[in-house]
Amino acid sequence: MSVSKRPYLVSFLLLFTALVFSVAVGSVFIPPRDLIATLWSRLTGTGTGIFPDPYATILFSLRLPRTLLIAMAGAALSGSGAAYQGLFRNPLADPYLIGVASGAGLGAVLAMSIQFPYTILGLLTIPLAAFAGALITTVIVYQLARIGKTLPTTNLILAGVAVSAFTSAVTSFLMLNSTGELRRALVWLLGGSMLSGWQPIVAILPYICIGLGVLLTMGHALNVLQFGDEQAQQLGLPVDKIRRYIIVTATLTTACAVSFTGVIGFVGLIVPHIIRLVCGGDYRRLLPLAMINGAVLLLVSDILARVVMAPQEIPVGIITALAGGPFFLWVLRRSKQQNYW
Amino acid sequence: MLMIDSLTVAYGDRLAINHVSFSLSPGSILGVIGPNGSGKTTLIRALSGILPIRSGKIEVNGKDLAHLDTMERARMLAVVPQVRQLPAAFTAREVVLLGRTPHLNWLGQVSGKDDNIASQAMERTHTLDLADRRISELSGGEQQRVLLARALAQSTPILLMDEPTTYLDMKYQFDFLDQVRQLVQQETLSVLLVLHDLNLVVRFADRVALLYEGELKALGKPEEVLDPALLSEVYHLPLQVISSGQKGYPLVLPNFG
Repeated sequence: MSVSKRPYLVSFLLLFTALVFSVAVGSVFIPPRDLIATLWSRLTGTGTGIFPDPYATILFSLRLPRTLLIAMAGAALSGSGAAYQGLFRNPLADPYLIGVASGAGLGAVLAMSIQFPYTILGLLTIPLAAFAGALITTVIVYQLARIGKTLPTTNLILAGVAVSAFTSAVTSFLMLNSTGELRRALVWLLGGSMLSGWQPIVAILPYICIGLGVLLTMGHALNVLQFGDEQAQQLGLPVDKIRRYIIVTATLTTACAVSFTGVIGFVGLIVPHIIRLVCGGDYRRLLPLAMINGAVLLLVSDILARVVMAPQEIPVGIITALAGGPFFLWVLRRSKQQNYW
Repeated sequence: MLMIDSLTVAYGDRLAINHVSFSLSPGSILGVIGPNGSGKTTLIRALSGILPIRSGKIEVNGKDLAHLDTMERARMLAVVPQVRQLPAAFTAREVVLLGRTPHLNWLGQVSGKDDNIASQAMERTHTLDLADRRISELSGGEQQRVLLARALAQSTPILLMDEPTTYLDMKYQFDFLDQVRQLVQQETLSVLLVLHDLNLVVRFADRVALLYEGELKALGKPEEVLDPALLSEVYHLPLQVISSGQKGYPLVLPNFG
């Protein structure tokens, strides 16, 4: 199959298409020709001749930042999903299902409720607080779910659901107790990018780059880990150290995504799975492909979220959950039938 | 050359390996036998760094393993585990290439040299024609040979084998151990072979170590260690040793009276 032979080419084409559509589609449709003209004039510093240019405002202060934020969040959720699956040797480990995303959400809302930040410095602390919340959740879920050194699927999901329910309840409580600005966080928690403009992008860019960058170097280690801790160590992998690296970076990456786009589920489940089916389970390939196509999936979901009930937007988390719920059941069924992954 | 001096390993207060000393010279196979719970697998786990040792010393070619990190140790000792729960997604070649892990850089990049070493390892274990098949599609005997190839790709002077024939049919048991025997002679490897089957040990090992409750009960040539009285005592079962075939290999059987 040609897709499995040239996965990078196909993925980048998909990404490019999704980016173009995400920038062009919305309450105001920007025709391709005007899109190119507006981008070109900004790049070269010349005007389009029309002043004030309505497209330029929509494009540069709304569409582009949102598109980039969604793309980064998609890459982060999908990349960390793939990493969790490899680390826990469990095909259903998704940042949302194992409760990490809700933990990150609680951390972020806590930070917001202390002082709702509008400065860059304040915004930079949100990913950190989300990271702290997510890391604590990961450790708790792992400790609750493990039996010895194995992590049975049912235990993982049950612990994830329980911890997730608890942290979500605390988050809701915090939000109900709050007034004014924080109420907008409700929309955010359902997975709609509430904050617009370039500030959130600047705030998560450093964390996302580090997180995704480190994850990309872990492909070989994740391959070795698939044989179990004992064999991995006998093959020369310092297992405990590597596990910690992967947990910390996958959690950091998840937390970044959650910080400004809210709790979005199932992206980290759907994308790595499809890639495994098409291109096999080699993590050196799976990780980058999961990141690119994670961006694609979340961009497509976001476009849908904008157009299904236009002019009203629905939170993108609802779209991914609508697709992800049935997908989850399908994966569960498959993993019972055959051990293919 | 593997040297073990007064090795002691404990689970809590219980001594699983109690002051065991022996050495293993290049080009030879040491068979390790003993009843369940005698410490055979513990020995492999301690040698390969999975379990911490309480006291004693393990040396490979004069280097104390205690001073080596995980990666350096994996360049000295390779383990051939039992085929169980292998990840289905990998091809045989990918599995063998993972044997190169202790020789790769921090990105885990595989060079042409690593590819060649993996190919050679597969050629030597007659698994080259399985290279592009998924490991889950292979038979137990083929999987075990792929794991042997992976250990060979690790390019270590010592191979530890933990009951590698447990899940194999009789013919594959013999084929597998025959192959190990040939490799040991061709490449002057040292092999520590833990086996349940006493009769296979006799056939393939140069020397045999008998473990019982964590202690080394006997060490020597197969025909010396396979003493009916000693075995009966250790295995808690009346056993007899008869000689079989033209070469008169000892054969251990339950003594039904």
